[in-house]
Amino acid sequence: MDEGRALFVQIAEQVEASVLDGTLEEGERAPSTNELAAFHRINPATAAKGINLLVDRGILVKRRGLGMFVADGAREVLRAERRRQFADHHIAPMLAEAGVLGLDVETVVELIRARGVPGRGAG
Amino acid sequence: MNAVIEVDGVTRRYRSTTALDAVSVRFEKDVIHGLLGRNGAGKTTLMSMITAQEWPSSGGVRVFGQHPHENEQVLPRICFVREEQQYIDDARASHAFAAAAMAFPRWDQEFAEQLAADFKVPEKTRIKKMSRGQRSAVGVIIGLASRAEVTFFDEPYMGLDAVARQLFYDRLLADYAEHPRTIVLSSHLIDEIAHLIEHVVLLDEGRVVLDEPVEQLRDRAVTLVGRADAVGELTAGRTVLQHEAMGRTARTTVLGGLDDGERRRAGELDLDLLPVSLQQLVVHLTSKAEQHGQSGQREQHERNA
Amino acid sequence: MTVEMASQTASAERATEHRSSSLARVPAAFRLHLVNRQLIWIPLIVFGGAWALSLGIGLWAAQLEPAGSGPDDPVYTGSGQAALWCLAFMAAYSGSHTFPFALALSFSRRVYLLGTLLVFLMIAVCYGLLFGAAAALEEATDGLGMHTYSHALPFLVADGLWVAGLTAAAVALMLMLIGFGATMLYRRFGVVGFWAVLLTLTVLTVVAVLLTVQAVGWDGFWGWFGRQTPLSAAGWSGLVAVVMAGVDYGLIRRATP
Repeated sequence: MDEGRALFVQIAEQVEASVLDGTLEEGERAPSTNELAAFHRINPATAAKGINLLVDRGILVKRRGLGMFVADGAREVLRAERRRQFADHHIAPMLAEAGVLGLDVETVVELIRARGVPGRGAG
Repeated sequence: MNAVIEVDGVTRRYRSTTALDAVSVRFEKDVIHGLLGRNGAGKTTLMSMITAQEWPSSGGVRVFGQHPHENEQVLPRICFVREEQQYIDDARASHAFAAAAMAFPRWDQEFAEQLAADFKVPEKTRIKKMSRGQRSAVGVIIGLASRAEVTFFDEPYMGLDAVARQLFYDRLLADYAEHPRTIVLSSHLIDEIAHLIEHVVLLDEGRVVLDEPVEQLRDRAVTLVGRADAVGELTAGRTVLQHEAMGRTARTTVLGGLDDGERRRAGELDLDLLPVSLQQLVVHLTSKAEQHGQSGQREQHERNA
Repeated sequence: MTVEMASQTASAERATEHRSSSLARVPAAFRLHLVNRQLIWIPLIVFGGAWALSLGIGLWAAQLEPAGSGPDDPVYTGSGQAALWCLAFMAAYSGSHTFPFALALSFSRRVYLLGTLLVFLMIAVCYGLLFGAAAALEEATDGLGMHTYSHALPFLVADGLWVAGLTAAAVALMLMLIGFGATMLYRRFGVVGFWAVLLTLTVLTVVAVLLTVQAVGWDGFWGWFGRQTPLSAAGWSGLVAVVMAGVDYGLIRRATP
């Protein structure tokens, strides 16, 4: 794990990633606090904090006596969130780097086109 | 807040040295604590006071709200195996476990046997003939299997290889998850335990330098990397923990976090902000004393308080 | 805090509510000394070995004697003492090894000492019985047919075998408590303090003897010893043992591992 963000935030992000890529289906049981703690070799309290972050945002729901489950619609919520952040997280750093290298926006757009758009094939 | 251990103004003097100097600290119930500090910082002395193996020159200790000294209501609920624990030399590990089984009300013999197999503690070897690592393993097993409500591990990894240490951390976490209890882990392999502990107490020369949740330490210090003049602009007036320069590039670690305005300014100046790891923070806070002597360290301590 | 953690905390609190007796762990402290049985079998070996050795010497001495001298002259040896010194040493050794471990097992010093006293008492009683039995055997078989007596010594058996056994037990208990006390003295005051206290005690003893001799003369001094019976010897040993138990407690209360 990298030291950049708080550990519990990183734990939450890893669970999010599993929900986004379908490793964890909606309605499926999510890893418990203790499972996360053992897997990542971290204090259970830290893992619990990460889980609570996801519960607060409606990604996970607690079912009494059964544990944590991925909420219905969680994937769509996460996707919408990531779309909103896409420009900040991916385009801004790219343009900053392009600026340092002396590439103008047109060139960058061309480079993107040349890579092809996922799902539509090259060209 | 539910403190199981309360240490109030404890000072412990030996003939010419002061091992603990007015130490006040609390350990919360069912939390894994890291007790950190250099060799001779007073870690073992503090644990000895809490477990009534020794007693303070002044100040008081309470465990479960009672004085632990000669208190059979408190002592069976505590386990403290020293780093250089002396065992009954001619006994085998199984003898030591049998004795521990009689002493600790929550002892789990099956768990102890499982751990002995995991750590490959030899069955037929007398403890005095064991390697350093095997003896450490015996201590670790007693600490874990005692399931004592307050358990101290005093540099438990001495002589253990990386695989055995990882085994210890894994078993500790798994058993703690099933049987939450107050654990105090004294160590100077800080990176290895940084993620295991929830709260850190740092001792330096018999004083408490740091006593807070690990999560909050992220705001304790920050490292700025970038152009020297830009770094200088943001670090001016702050307590510098470490400073390195290479040509016109500087890397400076300062105490205290940055506010939003400062973060924005750091972005404008194209500075990299790096969080300071627990290990780094501890090194900074404890090596400070050595550079500036006792008075510098005291100043630092007061500023932190 | 999660739900399962909260429920476990509650059960932990329930478990610790009941108050147990402060002496509940004395039997555990007792058995701590017996986890490996050195404290028993090493003195036993010394007991048997010293006896066998003295019999051998007795046999050898009998053969050396000129044919004219009566074969009925019994040979008395002091080998019955060997096990006593061994017990004193083992008590010191046991103290030095079990005390630090007892603290790691969170025994209070008081509980540890009570367990230790019980172990010493048990061993002393066993030693007394063994000594009495050995003396009985020697009396019944005329020194195992070799006229060699190591236990049925005239002074000791003067009031019967039971009294001889009692005296042996009392002396054993006293010596073990002194041996154990020496270890605790070292743990309490360190090596310098240990020798300082020992030296002071020696000087005080010499002064006391000299003062006594000055008052009653050497004859009076030795005469007092001559007037003792096995029973009074047992009484004096028992008294010293009781005093030493108190001294041991005073030392262990502030001894460090």
